[in-house]
Amino acid sequence: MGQTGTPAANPFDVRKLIADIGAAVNGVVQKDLTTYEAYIQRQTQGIAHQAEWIAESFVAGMIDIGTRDFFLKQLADTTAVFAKTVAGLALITIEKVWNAVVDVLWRSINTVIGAALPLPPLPQ
Amino acid sequence: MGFVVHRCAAQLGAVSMLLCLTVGLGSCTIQLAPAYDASIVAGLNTANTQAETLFATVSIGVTKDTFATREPQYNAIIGQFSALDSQVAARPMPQPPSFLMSGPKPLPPSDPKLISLLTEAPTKAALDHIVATLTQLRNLVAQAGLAAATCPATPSPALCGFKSDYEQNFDSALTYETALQR
Repeated sequence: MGQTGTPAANPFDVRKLIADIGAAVNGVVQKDLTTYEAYIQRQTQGIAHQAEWIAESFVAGMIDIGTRDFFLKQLADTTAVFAKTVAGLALITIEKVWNAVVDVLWRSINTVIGAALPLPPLPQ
Repeated sequence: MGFVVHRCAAQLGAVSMLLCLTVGLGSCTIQLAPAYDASIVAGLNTANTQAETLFATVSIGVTKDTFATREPQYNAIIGQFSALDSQVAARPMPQPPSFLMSGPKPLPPSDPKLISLLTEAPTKAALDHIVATLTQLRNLVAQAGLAAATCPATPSPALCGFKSDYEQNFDSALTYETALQR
C-alpha cells in the first residue's frame, strides 16, 4: 500500500478544472487555426494558379516541353512541401495542447494535495 | 526511453537542465518541434529580399550575353538559401512520439521517405526546393536568356512560373519557422 495524503485544505473543484482545460485547449487551437487557415488559403490558391499557368503558358507556346516538365515536377514537390508544413504545424499544436492541459491538470492536483509533482512525460 | 525533448533541456542547456531536474522539474514542458531560431527567420527575410530584387531586375527581359554580369548575384542568393538549408538541417530536431509514428503494424505503404514527414523540419524540404528552382533559373538564363514578363499573368513567359514557384515555397518555410515561436 502506498502512502496516503492528508485531508485536502483545498477541495478539488472539478467543474473549474473542466472549464480551465477547455479554455487552455481553445486558447491554443483557436490561435493556431488562424495561422492554418491563412497559410492553407495562400497555398491552395498558389498551387491552383501555378497549375493554370503551366497549362495555359504551354498551350500559348510561351514555355517549351522541357520547361513545362520542370514546372510539373516542381508543382508536385511544392504540394509535398505544403503537406509536410501542415503536418509540422499540427505537431506544434499537439505540443502546445499537451503542455497546456498537463499544466492545468497538475497545478490543480498539486494545489489540492499540497505538493509539487513534476509534469508527466508524453506517453509513447 | 522517450523520444520527445523537454524544453528546459533543449533551450537552456546542460546546466539549466540539471537545475530543472533537481529543483523545478514541475516547470518542464515537452517539445515536439525544434526551438525557434531568430537567426533563421532573419536569414530567410534577408535572402527573400535579394531574391525578389533579382526577379524584379530580370523582369524587363535579359539576354544570355549579359548573364556574366549578374551571375554573382544568382550565386550569392543560391548560396544564402543553401547556407540556411544547412543551418536548418543541423538544428536539433525532437523525434515525434511513437504513437504518431506507427501503430501496432506498419502503415502501408512502408516507404521510408514518408517518415521524414515528422522527423525533419518542413523548412528543409522548402529550402531544398528553392535552391533547385533558383539554380534552374540561373542555368536557363545562362543558356537562353529570359523574356520580359509582368507577373502574375496567365499565360506568361517562364519568369512568372519561377517567381510563383519560389514564393510558394518561401511562404511554407517562413510560416513554419514563425510558428516555432511559441
